[in-house]
Amino acid sequence: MGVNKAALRKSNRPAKDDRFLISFVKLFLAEPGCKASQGWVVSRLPLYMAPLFLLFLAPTLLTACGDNAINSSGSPLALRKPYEDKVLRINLGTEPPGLDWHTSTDSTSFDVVSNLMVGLTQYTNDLEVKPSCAASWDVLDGGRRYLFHLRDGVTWTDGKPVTAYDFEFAWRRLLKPETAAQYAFFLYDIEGARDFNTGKIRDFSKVGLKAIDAKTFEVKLSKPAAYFIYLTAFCPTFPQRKDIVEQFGDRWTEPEHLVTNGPFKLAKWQHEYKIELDANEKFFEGRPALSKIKMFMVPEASTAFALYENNELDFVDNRSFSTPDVERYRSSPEYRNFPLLRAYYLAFNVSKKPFDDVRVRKAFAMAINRNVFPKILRRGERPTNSWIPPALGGDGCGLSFDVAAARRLLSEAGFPGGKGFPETKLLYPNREDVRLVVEATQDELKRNLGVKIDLVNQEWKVYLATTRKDPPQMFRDSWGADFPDPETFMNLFTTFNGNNHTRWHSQDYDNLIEQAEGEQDKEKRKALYQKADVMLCRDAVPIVPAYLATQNIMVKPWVKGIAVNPLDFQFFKTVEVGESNK
Amino acid sequence: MTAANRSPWQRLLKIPTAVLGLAVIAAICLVALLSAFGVELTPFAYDQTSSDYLAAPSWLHPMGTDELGRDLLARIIYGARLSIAIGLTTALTAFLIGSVYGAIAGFSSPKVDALMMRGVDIAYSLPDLLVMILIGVVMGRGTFGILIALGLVSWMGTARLVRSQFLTLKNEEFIEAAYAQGQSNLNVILKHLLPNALGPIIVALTFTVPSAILSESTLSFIGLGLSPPACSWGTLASDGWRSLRAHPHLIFFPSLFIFITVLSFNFLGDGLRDALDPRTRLGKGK
Repeated sequence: MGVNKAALRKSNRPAKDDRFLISFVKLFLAEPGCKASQGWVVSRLPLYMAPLFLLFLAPTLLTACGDNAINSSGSPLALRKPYEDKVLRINLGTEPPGLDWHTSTDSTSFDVVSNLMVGLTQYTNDLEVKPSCAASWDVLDGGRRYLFHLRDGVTWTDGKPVTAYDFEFAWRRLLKPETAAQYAFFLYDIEGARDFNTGKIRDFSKVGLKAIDAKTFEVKLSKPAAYFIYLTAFCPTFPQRKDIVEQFGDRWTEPEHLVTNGPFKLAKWQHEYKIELDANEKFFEGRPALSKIKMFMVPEASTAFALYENNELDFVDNRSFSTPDVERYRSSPEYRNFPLLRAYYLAFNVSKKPFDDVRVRKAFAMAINRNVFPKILRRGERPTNSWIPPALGGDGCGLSFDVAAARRLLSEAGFPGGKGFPETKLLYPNREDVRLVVEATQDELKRNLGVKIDLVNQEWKVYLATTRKDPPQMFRDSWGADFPDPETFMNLFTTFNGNNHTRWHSQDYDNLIEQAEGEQDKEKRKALYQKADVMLCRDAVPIVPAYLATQNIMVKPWVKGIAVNPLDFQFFKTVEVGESNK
Repeated sequence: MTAANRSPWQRLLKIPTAVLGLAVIAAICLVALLSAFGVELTPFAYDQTSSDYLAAPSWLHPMGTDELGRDLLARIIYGARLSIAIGLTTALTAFLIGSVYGAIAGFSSPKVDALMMRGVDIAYSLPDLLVMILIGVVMGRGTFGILIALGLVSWMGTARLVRSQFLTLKNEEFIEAAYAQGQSNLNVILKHLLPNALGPIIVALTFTVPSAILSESTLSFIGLGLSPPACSWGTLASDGWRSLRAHPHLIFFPSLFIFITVLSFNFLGDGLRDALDPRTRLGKGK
């Protein structure tokens, strides 16, 4: 055995050396093997880099060249297709922490779940809500009561029909204090739901949700909530099977147990390596065009991108791009860029000096030129000074860049020209793009206000814990929308929201938000949110909105139907992969 | 004048590579010192951003600019301060702790020696990163913490080296001769043992310098080293390697300077060994 292996290695060696040579020649001199369409991939390196490359970096670049002549097994690629028919290969980035859609809170888990499951309603890619498990619904009592009528012929993967009882069980489980679901607040608009979730009442019959019969599901809200219907399209409100969850306990999401109702079903879960989804033939909208999705878990962006260039992935997004390489992929025809409803902001801890003084906060907000962020990050980010994104009706009501006014305010607050300004720390998570943003901010503040702030970075989980427990005077944070409504952004800074780390609270603001939540008239509702936005970004300024992020994707030419929406949900049921699409 | 009569210094100046190394190190140290005393060597400050993002090398920015439009030359000059300071201080700390510890172990009775060397074994088996993180947590962020942390994880090699040199040397005839003359233990150590052991030690120290420069970038990466916008060659290189293909100047120049410095230290180390080695000094005369 050992002898055989050694012989095998030996015979392989010349081929490897060839690869190296060809790649090397391509990188520095010409690109004889690469197709014209892939010329962008191998941007030529200056010749002075050659010795450095040879010494240290040759191994990492070998796989990265769009190598057409030879693939990794050494056989000519012409004999093989660069893709697998009807199979989509993507990168999840990391192992999903769990596939239980009640306890998951991260986008990796939701990317898997939203292709396995459908809820009462579902999003189109324009973020309209359309019927799904529910064929229709009635809104009664001035928006206080919803009656969902379930569709016939929607079944679970084991053949049983999806009933209203599955929804009742699932929503009850989401609200049960023992489940400890972070997304339980999603249902807080339902009568008694908050009290049941916080343990104030034990009797579930007091909670306003009920399966009237197998086909009718009734929900009573404590007050009208215009955005309620959106919630029924998002993972935490998807139905669950009582018998499965109770029989298998914590292991019910494993492939051999999991029962779902969406376009795909979980076929394989090789932890820390790959998840495979197979088409669900029984899906009520019909079988999806793909027969399989392979979701790999490649955490290192440059590795994942090399896999894409090597035709081993068909679709990559932000998770597989590293910031410094933007220029390399931006010129490709396979590249696309979409705005997201994800906002980045700088926050003040208003309980700490000197940021208990609103003049200081305002001065900081006016001294930061947000227009530099897109230039640094280079992915089409949109600078913003209001908290409601323009796509949801935000109108840029916040404080804008005005150095003179900022200086005036700072000297009014007792720090003329930044003199005597106390030591200030800005906390940020240890990530490349975030570091650039906070460094730029630091320099803006130094140049425009004469204030020197210290940057403190922490590893992601430590950072999350610090912002929750005791954040320093300033920190960088972000928020992604859960549904396409201003509510998801504005609710964040109410007194009771667990994600409001600024220590700022205002009864007036809370009242405004509550009023807006219940308002049925669209224009009035919009005006209420805008009033709250002015309070947040112009008057009280506990935060400085900075920019809205974008999603960047690259799709191979043989893939059709990939769409990205501003909520960053990735639905693959209409995607096609194959010869005809090339 | 014969070779034997020359001072080590004169002998060093006869070795061209050593002179070259010394000159380069002196130049880099001078630049670092000047910048530390506030002399502006470039028209830009190291933390001054501009709208000239990621510019390739040009007359205005001889080494180009980074993602925030900061002049890379200014940042490399600023980074030299810290990298050189860290390299030299770490080597010095390693030398002081290591040679005192090693000398005592090598010179004492076998029992004390065994005990002390088990101490070194224990210190060696602690993971460097863990020790540095602990020290970082205790000392807080900042240059001083980095210096202490790096010094404390790099003395063990020197200690072993000094001990082994002492063990071989202490049975040599010239040591016996020194004792026969009635010289004290301390005198024997300082005048006879240490100078004879110095060659290998210095060579080893010249390797401590570059490894310290590189370790510092690891510390910065896990968030215990420098806080931005301060930079060192290590952080510049670790930030720059990601842009290798799109913006190679960001990795090329910091690594070039690390490379030149490391090479110079090695040249100088080689030269010093030749110049200080008593055997080559005496050998020529006989």
